[in-house]
Amino acid sequence: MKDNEVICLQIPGETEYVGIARHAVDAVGEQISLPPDARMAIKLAVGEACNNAVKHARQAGSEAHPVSVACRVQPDALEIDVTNHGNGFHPEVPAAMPVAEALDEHGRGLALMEMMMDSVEFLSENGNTTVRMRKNRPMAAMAAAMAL
Amino acid sequence: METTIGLTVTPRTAGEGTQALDLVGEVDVYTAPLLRQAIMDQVDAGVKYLLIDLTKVEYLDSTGLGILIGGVKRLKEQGGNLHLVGPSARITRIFEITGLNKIFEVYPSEQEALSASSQAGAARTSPAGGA
Repeated sequence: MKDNEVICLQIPGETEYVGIARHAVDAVGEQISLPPDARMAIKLAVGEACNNAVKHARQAGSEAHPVSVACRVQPDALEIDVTNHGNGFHPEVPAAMPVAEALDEHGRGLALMEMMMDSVEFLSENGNTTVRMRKNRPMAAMAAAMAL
Repeated sequence: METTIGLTVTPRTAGEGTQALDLVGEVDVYTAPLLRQAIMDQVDAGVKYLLIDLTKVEYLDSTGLGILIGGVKRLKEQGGNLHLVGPSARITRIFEITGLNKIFEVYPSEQEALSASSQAGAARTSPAGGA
């Protein structure tokens, strides 16, 4: 896989397709020789981003809008955009991890995304919200990918 | 390890007074309701000690964590507990970075989890081991 190539996927805005999206992104990570821990981190972050996107994909009285996932293979990083084409949402960042002892059952997704990735930012345009995440590529992974 | 998209949840009796749920696959926003229902079925049946076998779980997201927290809360309300068995190093790391390793009792093997359950049960029923 060459640098600067883009791999795009669009899924229906339904929870049952989130697994397909995260496995597709993981396949990109495998192709560019990211180490297993980095791939696991990306899978979790993409899964959480898709969870949020699907949650906001359905507007009242309408069918769920699709969710787009785009992976850009950069020389020094894998950049992933997850775009919700339904209702925009504007989370507070950085997110605080809920205190474990409070036993909250919700509210960890965004904090997990930020902990798993090297950068996470939210972009809003025309009612769409994009979560842009970057995972830096270790030198060894870059060298291995170039040798393929 | 072969990747399994989806989740299967199999209930069984693990020991005296202790039930287990064997999970295989991925716990995410789509599959988590299956786990929630399986836990609630055990709670509704009066089970106090529940082991969740994570040995064959390859992925666990924040939705799954929320379901497990709900299970701990409900079992503790009826004087029991939920124990986790055999999570991989990567799943263990998720418990650590969320701080939930302070909430869940995690055991490397079912035998150790059963021993902890039986000791806790004995402490609760013993006249000397009351609250």
